[in-house]
Amino acid sequence: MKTRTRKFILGVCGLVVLGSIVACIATGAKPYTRFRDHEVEQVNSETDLSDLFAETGVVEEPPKAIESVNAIGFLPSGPGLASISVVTLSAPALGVMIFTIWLGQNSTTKEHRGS
Amino acid sequence: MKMYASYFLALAVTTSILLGVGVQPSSFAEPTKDARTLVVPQEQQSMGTVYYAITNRDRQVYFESNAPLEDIKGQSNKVIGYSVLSSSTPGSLAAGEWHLPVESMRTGIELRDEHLASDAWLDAKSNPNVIFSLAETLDLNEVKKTNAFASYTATLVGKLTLNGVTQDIEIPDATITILKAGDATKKVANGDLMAIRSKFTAVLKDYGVDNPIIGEKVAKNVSLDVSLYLSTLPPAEQ
Repeated sequence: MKTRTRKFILGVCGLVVLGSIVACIATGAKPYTRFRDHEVEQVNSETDLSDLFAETGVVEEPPKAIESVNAIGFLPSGPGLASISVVTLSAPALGVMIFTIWLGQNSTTKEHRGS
Repeated sequence: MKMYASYFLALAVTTSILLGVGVQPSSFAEPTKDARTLVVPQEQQSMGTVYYAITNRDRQVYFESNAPLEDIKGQSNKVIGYSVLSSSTPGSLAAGEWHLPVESMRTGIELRDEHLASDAWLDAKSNPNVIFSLAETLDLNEVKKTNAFASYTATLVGKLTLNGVTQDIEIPDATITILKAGDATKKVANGDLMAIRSKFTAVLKDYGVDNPIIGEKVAKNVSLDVSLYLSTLPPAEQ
């Protein structure tokens, strides 16, 4: 394998690893990949009753809400799109990187032996 | 021979009726035909004013499991049921029952929701609901009373059924607030309204929920924050 090709593969794989980590951090560094949930959003948007009782001043804040967000997590959360995660993207990319580096070292050693 | 057989059959039927064999007596209130609320038993109706849960609106249940390896949060607004406001003691709940469909719990991750309802966890097929049956209210304290509303704190005493296992439970510091119907309430829901707020913890092991990952990815104790809104009118008229 040519040096330029190796560098290209290493660069692409590095970008995949870095990109997945950046995407994970940028979307909230969630442990698991998750997607917006219409039902959760609908529940979270309903606050008429809690607002009404809050006006009395004696009813404490309503229960917390769970998030409905698109996020690349550190780990996958299921099949299909939910399988996209830092681990599932980085692991194969790191594998290819290691293999490419190993190939490069092997071919360099052969070239040295040959000369 | 035929005559003996029919005698035996008649005897078996009579015995089974007398012993209750083959009859599935349910200690829980049955859902109404439209499944939007529960049928309030006659003896409970006579205890006071019935308030019906307002479902599919505001968040009613929030639960949280904080384990060393993972935090799980979930919610639902699909609780159906009723409470009976005592006619003899203002602010006291004489009875009540609420059903939280297990399959309505949302954690924000679809696969996790499926796992939660599976037989490895809450087994929604066999036990479709988490049920709280209120038996009585203790330690009733009036917090504030005006012309428009009255608010009380109390300990709710009853039984919690989770995963088909029923345990006695006492929930201290529950808040019961009653709002009389008025211009402000009409914009939101019809009828006199009630809010019941309570926080408690369920120990999964006590309810027969056993899984190797409890203690690691799922906490042994799950905390629940319940906020029910109810109306004196049944769901169809709310």
